[in-house]
Amino acid sequence: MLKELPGDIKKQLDNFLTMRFNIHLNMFTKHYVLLLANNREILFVEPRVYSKVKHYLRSRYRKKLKYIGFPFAHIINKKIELDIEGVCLIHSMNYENELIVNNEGEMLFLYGKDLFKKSIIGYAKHYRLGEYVIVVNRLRECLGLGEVMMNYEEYKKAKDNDVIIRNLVDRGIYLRAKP
Amino acid sequence: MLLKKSQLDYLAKKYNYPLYMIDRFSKMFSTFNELIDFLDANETPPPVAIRINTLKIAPEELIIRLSKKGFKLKDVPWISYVKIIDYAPYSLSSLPEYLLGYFFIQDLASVIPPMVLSPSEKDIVLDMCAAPGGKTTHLAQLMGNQGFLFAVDISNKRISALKSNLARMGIRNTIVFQFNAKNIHLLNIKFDKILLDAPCTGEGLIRVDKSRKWKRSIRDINFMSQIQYTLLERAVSVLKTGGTIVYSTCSTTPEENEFVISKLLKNHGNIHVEPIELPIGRRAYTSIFGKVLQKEIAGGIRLFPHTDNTIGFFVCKLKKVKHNA
Repeated sequence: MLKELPGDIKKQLDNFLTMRFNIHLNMFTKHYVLLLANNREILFVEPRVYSKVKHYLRSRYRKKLKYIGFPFAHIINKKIELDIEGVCLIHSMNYENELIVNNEGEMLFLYGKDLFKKSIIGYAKHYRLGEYVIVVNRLRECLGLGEVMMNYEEYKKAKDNDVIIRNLVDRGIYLRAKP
Repeated sequence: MLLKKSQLDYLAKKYNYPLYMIDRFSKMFSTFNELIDFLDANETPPPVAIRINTLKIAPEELIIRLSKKGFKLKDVPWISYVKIIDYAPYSLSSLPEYLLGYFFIQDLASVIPPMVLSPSEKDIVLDMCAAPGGKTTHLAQLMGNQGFLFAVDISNKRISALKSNLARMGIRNTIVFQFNAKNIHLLNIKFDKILLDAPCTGEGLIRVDKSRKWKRSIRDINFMSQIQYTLLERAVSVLKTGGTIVYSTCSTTPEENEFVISKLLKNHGNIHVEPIELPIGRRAYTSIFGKVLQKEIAGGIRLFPHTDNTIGFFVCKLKKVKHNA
């Protein structure tokens, strides 16, 4: 069932985006209406599309309305986790957290694997342990989201086969999660 | 064409079909040779086609990218953004370009219904049996992600696949409802354009799945035909005057195709067939299995494996006019 995103979750999402990507939720709410589906999926919907179905949310058919817009994030154990489309939307607005991988790294990452040092061919800044990075290919197409596994100083000393980025979500989900 | 019982027995055994099916096929083709061509073609898989998602990438750019990876693509003369895969060095669905939503893998026949419906950016469109979303995402592509596309499906499991495909392909104008499309009138919306890719026996899918030779009976055909008619009549009831319905199935049986259209034309004087003009397929039957149907049904098209190198398919375009028009 769909409903408008409750205020407490909105706040939680805003905190998450500010902390992880240094962007505020209002950058998105200018362009999208935020909905909650099944009490866990956060959907972003264009206002004009939402206006067409808004009245169904209060009608007897609200349970039949399953999906509109696109999935931005979901809530697991009260924590926010980004969906791949959410990651790529953030990437389209903010390149500060970008990390570029080579072709081999691209394939491994899309198979859900972590990234080795040898796969990384560029980064936007010197990342710290625990930071989130948006993983892109040579063409700077968004592949997914990763978490940095070591500080920059350690990274410089790391070997080619050391894991630098832990895979959090990637576009390969569209293949692996096929119903 | 009438064949002797011994000939029918021979073909049923040789190609591993139930006798009734061979008997029916023999009446659908005018010559013995064509029947054999059809049965032979059903033994080979259809070519794989991709529909390039022009919402995300220009066709020329994707062609270059796939060519560099060793894929060989062939043009389809009547649709620029669909390509036949002539050679694939590895699985298409594992490509980053697939995961990025730059193309959809589908049979060539499946691109025809949305193309014939041709929705615009201003339309309110209904896809009545939408999952898993090959045709839905194509409709959204043709609408430039504008307008409103209502996608309905009865199955929750299939809707999961639909949602995944909508997200992957970057579709933003689609509203998904889960219920039986025969209840679509309850939403109280009138549509400019409706696609009814109806549930069917799937007799046209034998090339893809040989088990379909034995999965269905005449009873199933008649049962599906009733469901198809109910859905089509419902589509008429929620269509604006001047609006268009495209009806399609992946079945070759006349009961699920021409007979359904014929019954609709008899019962709804404000519905007419609009001829489909495409350099593929052949005219729908107007005389088959001892029945003579309305001439305008020839405006629909049929695709066959042996002549079109697709799955077996039927498409018909219907227009709703004012009464007595």
